[in-house]
Amino acid sequence: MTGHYGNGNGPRGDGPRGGGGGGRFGGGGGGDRGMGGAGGPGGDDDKRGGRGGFGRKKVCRFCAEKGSHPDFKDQAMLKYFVTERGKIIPRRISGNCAKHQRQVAVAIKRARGLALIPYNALVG
Amino acid sequence: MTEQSTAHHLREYETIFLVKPDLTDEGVDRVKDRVRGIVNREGGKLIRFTVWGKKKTMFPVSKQPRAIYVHASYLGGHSLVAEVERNLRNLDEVTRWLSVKVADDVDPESRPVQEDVKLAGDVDEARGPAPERAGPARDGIDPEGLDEEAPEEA
Repeated sequence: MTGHYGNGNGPRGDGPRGGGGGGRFGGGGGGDRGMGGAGGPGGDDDKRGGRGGFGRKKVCRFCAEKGSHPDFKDQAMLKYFVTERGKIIPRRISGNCAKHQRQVAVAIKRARGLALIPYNALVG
Repeated sequence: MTEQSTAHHLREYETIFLVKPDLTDEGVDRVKDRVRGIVNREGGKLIRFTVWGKKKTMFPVSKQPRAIYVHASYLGGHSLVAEVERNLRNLDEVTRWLSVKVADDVDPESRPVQEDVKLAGDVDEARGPAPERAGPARDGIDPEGLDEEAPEEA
């Protein structure tokens, strides 16, 4: 983070702004956008658009089902979270929350060790 | 909660191990008895064995396309797990194993010993070396081969 801070400050040149680290994430967010040259309206659009009307809000299926948790023995469930080639599907696609995605990742790796899920499957 | 009761609590572990597919039921029972003996000897409590049966593995394990999966659930301490794994390592029939802690602080009285379960496995072994045919009965896996009939009437 310190590195980031330094980089931001270089071009801007107003280093001595107090509490710069906090400012970047708080009220300073708008200022950063302005510096980028895109202007305020772009930022506003981002916020209003949200998901841009595409798709629907994904809900973590382990949170939705109370009491369920990723289990490395459940081959059928884990199949939802790996591609055909055996790669772990990222959170932004699977819709898992961070906590459960971590647990899913561990479960998949355990299942791979037991040959329940492929490390790498050739397609075709 | 008194100190003594917590001191008597054990952890719950589960161990899954893969056995070579050509082993007979008696051979599997021998391995099970051996594990059961270790758990009882080391002051643990074996809750249940579940034999998942012969399953097709996703990749060859010790040059075999399938394996017999055995799942053991037991209570005990860390030294018990080490001892079980050491014995599994010494058994030639056991090709892989994985031990996981399921719960801390389990009262042994609250977990009765359950009867062993034997599941069928997913590969029809009577068919011999033609596992690709028997698609539809596989559990959980989408049978993507629901073609077979595409009369192509033009």
